[in-house]
Amino acid sequence: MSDLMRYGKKKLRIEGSRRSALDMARGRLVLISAIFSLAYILIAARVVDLSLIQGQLANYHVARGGQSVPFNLADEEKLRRGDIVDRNGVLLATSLETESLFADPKIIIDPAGAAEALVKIFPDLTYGDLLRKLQGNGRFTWIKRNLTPTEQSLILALGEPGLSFKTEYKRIYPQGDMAPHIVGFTNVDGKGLAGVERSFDDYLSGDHVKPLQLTIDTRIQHILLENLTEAIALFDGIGGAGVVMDVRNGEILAAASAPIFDPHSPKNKDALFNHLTLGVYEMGSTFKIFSTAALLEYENISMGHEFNTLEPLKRGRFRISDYHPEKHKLTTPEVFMLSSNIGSALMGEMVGTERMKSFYADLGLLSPLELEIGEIGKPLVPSPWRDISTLTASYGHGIAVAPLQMVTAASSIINGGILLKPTVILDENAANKSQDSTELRIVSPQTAHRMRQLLRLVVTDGTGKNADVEGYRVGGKTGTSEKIVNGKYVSSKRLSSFVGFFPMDAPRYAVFVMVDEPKGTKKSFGYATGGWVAAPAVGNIIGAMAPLLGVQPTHVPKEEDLAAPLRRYIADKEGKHLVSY
Amino acid sequence: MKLFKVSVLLSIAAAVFAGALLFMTSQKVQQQEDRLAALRNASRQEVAHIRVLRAEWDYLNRPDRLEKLVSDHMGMDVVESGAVITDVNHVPEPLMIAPPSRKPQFFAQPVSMGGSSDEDEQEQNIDAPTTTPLPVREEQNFNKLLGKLKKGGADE
Repeated sequence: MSDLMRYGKKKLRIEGSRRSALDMARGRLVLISAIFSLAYILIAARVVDLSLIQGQLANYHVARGGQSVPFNLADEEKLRRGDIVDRNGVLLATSLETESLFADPKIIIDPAGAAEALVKIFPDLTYGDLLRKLQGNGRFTWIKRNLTPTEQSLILALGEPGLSFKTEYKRIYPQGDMAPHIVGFTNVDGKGLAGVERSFDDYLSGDHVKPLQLTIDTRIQHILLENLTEAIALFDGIGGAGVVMDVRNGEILAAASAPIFDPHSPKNKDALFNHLTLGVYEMGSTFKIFSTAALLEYENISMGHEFNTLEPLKRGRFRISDYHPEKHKLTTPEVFMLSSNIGSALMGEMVGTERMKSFYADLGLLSPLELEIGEIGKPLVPSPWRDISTLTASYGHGIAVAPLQMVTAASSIINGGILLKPTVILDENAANKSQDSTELRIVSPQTAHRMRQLLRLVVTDGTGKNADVEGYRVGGKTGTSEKIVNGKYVSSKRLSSFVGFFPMDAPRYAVFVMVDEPKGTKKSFGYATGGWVAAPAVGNIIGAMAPLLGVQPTHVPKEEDLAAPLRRYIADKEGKHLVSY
Repeated sequence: MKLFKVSVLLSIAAAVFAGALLFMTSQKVQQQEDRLAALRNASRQEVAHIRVLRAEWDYLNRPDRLEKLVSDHMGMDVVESGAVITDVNHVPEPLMIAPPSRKPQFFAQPVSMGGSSDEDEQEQNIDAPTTTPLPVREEQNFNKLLGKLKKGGADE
């Protein structure tokens, strides 16, 4: 009994070879049950994870808009079209996020009701169009791009599941119609269609590191545009152009073409035309700058040289005459100051066709302008170039160039004789670089100086008196040309312009204004010439921009003026010259 | 083999602990990732907002608008060349209005340390710019006044 009792209490122990087999079986049992229980624990944990923890997170995502995109800001910045800023960093063009509305016709519940509600929100859409779109077969159709937040909330309030939004970028031009011809515009998909927007489309839509900086100064641009539109309105012109350029490096501070347009909705096809760079015109007397400079550069003649301007000039079947013939022979300064066509034609003849032609070519007047925008006009050059072409080109007829080309060429002479390349892109490297080694000299510094004197004389004593601004030593040249209608020059349709430079003793800026088809007013005594139409506008522009740019006014007495040495070549009231040759 | 050997128990506990730790870590990572996404989203929106504000700022600072505001509210005009002073000597002296002060004014006097010539010069330089003499009051001495008062008091 006691043995048995002991046996019952004690565990059964099997000794020998059987024992190890039993142990192994038990071990396996434990291992398997451990694995299974671990698996169940894992499954239980995963269920808790999925149902409670992840589920809540997912709800949270839905509430937040369903995006948990690990977005990199820098990457996103590259998706956005780059900004365009002016030289002071003022935004000219930027892209802002907006929501665009699209529909999935397949899941629209009530197309008719939705169309009706949409017409109420967007009065510019028609019910029929919308209904056709909403009942279409596709799975995607745009309803309206770039909504305002208010419109978006109204649509959300409709609760139509088939209407969804897509975030898009809209091109915004904060300065409005300030410089649309240079900046350009884009289509609704953000592709540049004109101006810098088109020529720098790859940069702006691609890997841009920083905004594209232009040489335009918004303040100067405003001054130019204001005075240009005022001059056009005052003389009832049909259009015009204007530019302000730094004559030392060709940077364009302001460039305008009128009529202007709103880059947000470029609809008016006439206004899209850039009169400054794309239009080519016979510029008229402003071309006398080139014939006079060529004469001073190539022919060693004195300022007192007299040109016979008493009789109209006859060459073959051509006849060149002056608007206001003088009763005495004119000296070089007088020809320039009084803008004598005969005198300038004679100057061109003295220089000769070959040299005049190569001079124009050097100045870039015979080939299209080089500028960073695509809207560039090709000059109309006489072909074949006969000797008479040289004579007419000397006073700006028979050759048509873009106005900016003329301003650039004139600036290249006035700045000391170095050829300029106009630019609208502000290049910081170029600004830091001192004089470029590849510079091309057009005229000698002596010729440049004499041209400065002549241009100053036009403003102090000649046709450009209206452009003078006390203290800023303005110089310049008027230009009035007749437009060709049906192959004939029409004296009532003119192109009046003025190209001014200041301060004349060390020119910094060129200011140009041109008005297309101005009509004379009472105030201008019926005149619609460059001196009456464009010169006052240039004067006003200079008066307003000079203090902004920190140009110091100096008040020099008339005897010490730059043009004073030329006054002795000007005839007195009886038509006699002080010094005669 | 014992079923509940200490080592087995320990290793199961370790496994459970490790599993729990792993689970917690993964949860934490997910939470952090979510927070990161939220922050990125917030900063993205902030950047977009700043962009809108910047565009609006430049829109409101259009030269034509500023010009209209100035002409409407400030009565200012375009700067004429005659109004610009180019020589510093032509700058007019500011009008110094010195109201008679109620309180006596004391000025720090230069302390002479043996009277070197340098100090004399400095003294002159300091005096030079003061163009309008400030009103000088009769010097008042508190102790004197007090003494006077005391005397008067004693007399009475």
